[in-house]
Amino acid sequence: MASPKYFKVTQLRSAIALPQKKKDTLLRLGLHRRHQTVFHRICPQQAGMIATVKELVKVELADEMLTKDEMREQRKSDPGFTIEKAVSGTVSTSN
Amino acid sequence: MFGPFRMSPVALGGLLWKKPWRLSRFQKYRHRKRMQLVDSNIQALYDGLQANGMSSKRVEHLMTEYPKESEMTPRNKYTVFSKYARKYRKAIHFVPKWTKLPLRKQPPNV
Repeated sequence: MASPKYFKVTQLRSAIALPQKKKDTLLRLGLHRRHQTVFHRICPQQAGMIATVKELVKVELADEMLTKDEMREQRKSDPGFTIEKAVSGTVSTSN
Repeated sequence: MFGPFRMSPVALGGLLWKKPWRLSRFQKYRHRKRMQLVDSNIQALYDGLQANGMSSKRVEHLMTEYPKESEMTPRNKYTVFSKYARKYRKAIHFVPKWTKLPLRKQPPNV
């Protein structure tokens, strides 16, 4: 099995009223709000930064970096049907 | 009912502590869950670095020196050292921002 390449970091707690160092660290990690997820390549520097805010985030290991849209796609529930053929003008393909 | 001499718990009884002196079992449960999440975060950082053949002094330290939730005694989980408290211990929820702080290290000789 290939080793994971990314830290998947999700902010769970806000940094309000915490020391400026922790607020700055969250911002440097690219985290601006709760339940926001960012990916960081695994390296000691990033690990140290994440360790600074370890009480505020959830860290997982990921093999690949997902975009915001891909993560949203993963969260979507199964609609229970598949569109085999769409009549033009009735179903928009963007959804 | 109104005015400066109205009846209130403080006026009636004098001293009133709005914070209970100990945590409820539900507070303790949530506290343990938060501690376990921090433990899993440290483990993930360590595993990620290990899998890529890297290491970090800080993460190593957290892995070896920082007490884990499962290794801590209830006394150390739910109370902290305080030089003003009776028996030098007070309940952890009297520390401001106690749910977002690392309060696991114990002072030596206590």
